[in-house]
Amino acid sequence: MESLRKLSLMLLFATGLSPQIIKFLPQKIPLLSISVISPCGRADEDKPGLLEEIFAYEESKWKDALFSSGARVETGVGADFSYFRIIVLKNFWQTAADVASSLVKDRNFDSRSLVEARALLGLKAFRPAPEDFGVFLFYPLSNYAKPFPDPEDFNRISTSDLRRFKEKCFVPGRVRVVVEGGFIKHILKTRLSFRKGITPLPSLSEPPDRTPLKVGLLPSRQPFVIWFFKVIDAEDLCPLKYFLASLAMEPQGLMRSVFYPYGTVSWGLKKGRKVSIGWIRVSTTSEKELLSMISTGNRAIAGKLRVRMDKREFLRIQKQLKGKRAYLESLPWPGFRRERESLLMEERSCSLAQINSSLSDYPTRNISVLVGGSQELLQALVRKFSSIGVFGPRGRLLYQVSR
Amino acid sequence: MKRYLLLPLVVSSLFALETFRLPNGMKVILIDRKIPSVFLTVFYRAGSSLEPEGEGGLSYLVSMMSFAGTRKSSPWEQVFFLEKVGGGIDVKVGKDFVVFKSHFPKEEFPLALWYEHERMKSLRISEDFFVKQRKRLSLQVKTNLMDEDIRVEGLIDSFLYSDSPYSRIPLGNPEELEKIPLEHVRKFHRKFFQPRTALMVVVGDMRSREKEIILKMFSPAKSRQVIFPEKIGFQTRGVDRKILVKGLSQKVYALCYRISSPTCSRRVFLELVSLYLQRSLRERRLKGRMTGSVEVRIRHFLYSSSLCIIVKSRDLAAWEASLQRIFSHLKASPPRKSVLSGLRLSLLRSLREKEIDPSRWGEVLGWYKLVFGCGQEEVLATASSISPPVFWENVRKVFYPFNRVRLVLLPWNR
Repeated sequence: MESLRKLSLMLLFATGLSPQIIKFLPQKIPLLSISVISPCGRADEDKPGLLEEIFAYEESKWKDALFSSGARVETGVGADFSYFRIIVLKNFWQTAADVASSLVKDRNFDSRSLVEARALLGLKAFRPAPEDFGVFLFYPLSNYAKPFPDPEDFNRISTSDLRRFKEKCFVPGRVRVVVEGGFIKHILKTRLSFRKGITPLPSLSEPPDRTPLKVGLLPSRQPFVIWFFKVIDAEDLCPLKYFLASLAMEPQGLMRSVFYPYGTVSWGLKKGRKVSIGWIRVSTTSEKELLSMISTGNRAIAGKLRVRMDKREFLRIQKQLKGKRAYLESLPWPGFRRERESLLMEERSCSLAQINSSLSDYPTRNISVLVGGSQELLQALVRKFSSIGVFGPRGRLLYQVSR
Repeated sequence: MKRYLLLPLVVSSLFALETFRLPNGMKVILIDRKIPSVFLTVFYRAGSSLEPEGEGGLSYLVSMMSFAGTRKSSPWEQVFFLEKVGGGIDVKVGKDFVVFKSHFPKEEFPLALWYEHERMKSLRISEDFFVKQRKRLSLQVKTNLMDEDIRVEGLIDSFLYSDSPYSRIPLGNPEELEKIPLEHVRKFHRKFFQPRTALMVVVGDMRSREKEIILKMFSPAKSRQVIFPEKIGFQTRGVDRKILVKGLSQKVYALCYRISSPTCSRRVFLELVSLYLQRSLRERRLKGRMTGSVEVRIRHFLYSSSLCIIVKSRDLAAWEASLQRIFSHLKASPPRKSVLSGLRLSLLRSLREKEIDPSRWGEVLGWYKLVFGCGQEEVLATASSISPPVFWENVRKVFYPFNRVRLVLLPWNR
């Protein structure tokens, strides 16, 4: 079977067609969505802002067509993946197909659209959410922890930089194209066929092995504490999910019992291709409780890691996760979500025994904390911890203290 | 009526709706979608515009008190139950309405609905719960009011709707909030959070059994007569002010237009103008190399609609000149047919996008029914019937100095 697959790939290359994935997922709705998903993210950029500029360029280049068809463009840039998505009424399938094809096929950048794209990008505020700071803590000063771009970054990018990056990340063999909604397949198929000679595809960035920052500080209007949990192996994804749910859950959840009534608790899992990071966040209304919250939270986490999960709790969390899955399944555009997920770390279900064994040897060096609050509070905290990094709002590491 | 359409707009709803009213006055809309979750949205006609003078934030406080527990359930039980089954609940407080949005797996429908019903029927607020939550909320409001955007918004509203209940912000006033007694909270809840003032929208796998449960559970709930104001008038003429604001990080320019008692077609017109302005500003911004950020904000309340252009920049003069050029161009000649067609298609796309999303559709639908006073079909039909001359005529009526509020907010850092 494996040799057959290799043979078909060789044949594809020999005929000048590169392997590509275009998925057609029909639905009975009056809308059409074409998504171009790339395995390149911020970590793969040679200069900051390349992905944003490529996406903004496409929007500027096609702005008249996009306006006259009432289309909407959605873009996303992660640490190690990105996507460009166009949503349009199905009558305007041509516009959607043209924009998507141009992103994957066209290597030229006209100066007028580029100037417009830069002007627009210069006005946008790129700010990571505090939950996105996990990579900044675990991989400080690496490709994975690149701060979000500022207007000057866009002006430093040349046309050749853009072309080189596009050849690396937006070639038919690398991107996935998902066509979803109400459309006629055969019309779109001819429009979206990408022909391309063999392009050597350079390997994408790997997460470096760095000493993580134990504590990060971020100026914020609303005080908060976030504990981040690094996951390297896909096997650990499911146990970590159970662990976070159990920490947050009422009535046994230590977090809630400890922090109520000052704060609210939320948790989630930010998946990547090579690294995934789980987080649990406590937001509070007052900074007075923040310090005691950090130490109580640390104790609660350490305690939960020591104690084995029992069957009752396991079943309760299983029910909660099932409900969360049902919610996701009810939302529109399931194909786009599924395809984007398939690019990331694969998550499998796990048994109680697997959870307990995975959590019992979970290394504490894989846990870091981000604290948000006023400048005064952060200054007080700098003196309190031994390994600490102070961040700017775009994720730039302003300074680091190691004692 | 002549229809100026380049492409036919399909104006029927994508999904079948069932609308009915219970004997106690409660309105229910069911939308049948074969999905594993249920999305429940309950609107109460109880926003900040109904708060008595000197009790700013009462509706926000009452909506938080809704989780105080009932005769048969303990505090926060509904929230914990929804979390346990993988669902969730969210509360939004506006000027006219308070909206409770929840979602849960369809198997939990009876129990989730029971909590909603219990809250409406027999809320019990203990003194201890009240004091703790009031303190927490007051702290929360203080923190939120430190946000520049929220403060600017409050300031704009206070001039846009001066001398009317719409000048209050839903978040409330922390000083007033701390003085609200429990008895007033109970009274406000009894009066406004009852079947007669409620609209419930349920999106999910709705079969006859689900409908029966709703009827059985909510029909016996008693409702009381409430009289709402018929209209809120705005007597103040256009405002033109320069104000120093403490702690502002940059200059803010706000140009707003308001409409009193707007009809459905006026609201749709405003939506189209907002899209038109966004496009024009984008073009101008690119040509004029203006710095800073601009936001076109459109708000629909029960008795008014408003459109604001809010600019945050160091150099306001360039923006002001640019806005003047856009408006004089708009007033001088009607937009081209192709431009109007693009605006209509954008409106249709955004509506269809919301319609296929069950997590948003309940709220949007309720908004159309309650605030717009017309369903989405009428919105689309109105959008398709607005021709360039009609658009132009509306421009001259709405963008009139009497309706205009122009504010320049300058940082005062002494």
